[in-house]
Amino acid sequence: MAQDAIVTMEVPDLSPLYRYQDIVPHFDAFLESCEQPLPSTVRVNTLRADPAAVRESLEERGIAADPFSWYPAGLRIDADRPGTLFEHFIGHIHSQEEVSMVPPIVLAPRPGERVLDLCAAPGSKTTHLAQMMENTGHIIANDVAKGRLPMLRANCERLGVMNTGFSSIDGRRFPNASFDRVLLDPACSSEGMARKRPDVLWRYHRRFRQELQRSQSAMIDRACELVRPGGMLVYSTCTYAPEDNEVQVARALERGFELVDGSAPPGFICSPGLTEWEEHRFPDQMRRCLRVYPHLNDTGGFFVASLRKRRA
Amino acid sequence: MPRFESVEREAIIAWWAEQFGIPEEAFDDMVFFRKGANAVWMVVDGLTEGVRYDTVGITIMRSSSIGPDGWRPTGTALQALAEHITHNRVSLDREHAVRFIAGEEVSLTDEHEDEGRRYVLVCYKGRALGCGLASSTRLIPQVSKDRRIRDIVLP
Repeated sequence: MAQDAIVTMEVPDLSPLYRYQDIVPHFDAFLESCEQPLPSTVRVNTLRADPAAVRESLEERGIAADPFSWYPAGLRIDADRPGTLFEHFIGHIHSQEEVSMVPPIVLAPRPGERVLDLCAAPGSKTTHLAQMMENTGHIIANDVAKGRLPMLRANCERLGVMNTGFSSIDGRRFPNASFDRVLLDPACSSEGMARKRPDVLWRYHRRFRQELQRSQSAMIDRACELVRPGGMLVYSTCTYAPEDNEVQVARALERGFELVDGSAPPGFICSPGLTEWEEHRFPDQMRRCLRVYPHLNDTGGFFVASLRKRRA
Repeated sequence: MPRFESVEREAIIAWWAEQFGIPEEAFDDMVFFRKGANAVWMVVDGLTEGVRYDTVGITIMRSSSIGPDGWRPTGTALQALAEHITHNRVSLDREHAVRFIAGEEVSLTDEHEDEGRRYVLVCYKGRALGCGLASSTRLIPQVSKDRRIRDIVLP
């Protein structure tokens, strides 16, 4: 008989995350969570479907679907490829990571408002904003990568989003306009995606990360100018790096914005933003930012800042 | 929006009323645009001045050599407007719906005879699947390749 097969599991090298051991609570649990695959999750498109009816339809076919504790239109489902489900085909659900539903909920757009999604592709957040606005008002879904617009448009079309226009303008130079709410979810070092793509921690060299940060700075500066007085800016990334996060949010604080207290969705567990990192010192209100670590809610990692522009 | 041409609103609304029985009120908040000769888009009124849009809203019709008045509907539009559609509507049973979603031709039963070749909204259990080109005996799915799903499990 042949030698017993040796089953090897590829253990991702998470050493780039060790720089966060003093800021992440329960760091061992954090690392352990980063090695686990992500649960399969979808968002119910409330423009077309009712979450309870979608659950029933899935469960009739033996597909378990449990709503998130913090958001009834988000479902954890027992299906590896939600994109091949009937409900996906008819635009009743959208395959989306649980944590990526947080920024639109924090931005909380209302029907009839004017909203800018500055880095919109592939459109998970845009379509979420549209359903919160009940397909009224207007969204500009912008992404500088013109090649990603077809995917963004296809998602909007499948989900029946009709209040959205699409542009491919460099966010750093977006033309003068005034929005009730702006979502800025720029390209980042993506460390929070490690559960989905472990190689992401090794993909970006230091110089490229610095380039990303310069671009984030220019975009948040421009985004600040595009929000009307009293309006909202949500800045979000899928990374833990303070250089991509608090350092950028500090720019908005210098440009007439203040962080909104208590912006976390009730029931969703977040750590506070940092008030210091290496040589940086941030104002106390930076604690109002939301740091999402995988072990807190069994999701990917994220960062969300909810900022209100002071009235002149 | 200099890159877009306006299209005649009344003509578009009349086309949808005639083909699918959609009442004018369904388009109350909508505006229509055309980019080149090939497609018409529909979007909720409220575009932002000074922004150079690439596209807006959803594509609702494309030019067609065989469609009525040179147009055919998109599946996206039929899905979005499904609740208003009163005619040119075909319901499929489970087996045929599976084939339709996979992009395969479906045979139609006798009740559809004598209606001629036409674009229809295709439904399964009241849910809008998209657009098909129907003749008296068969239905050709107008589902784009990247949206087709093989062996889908239906409710």
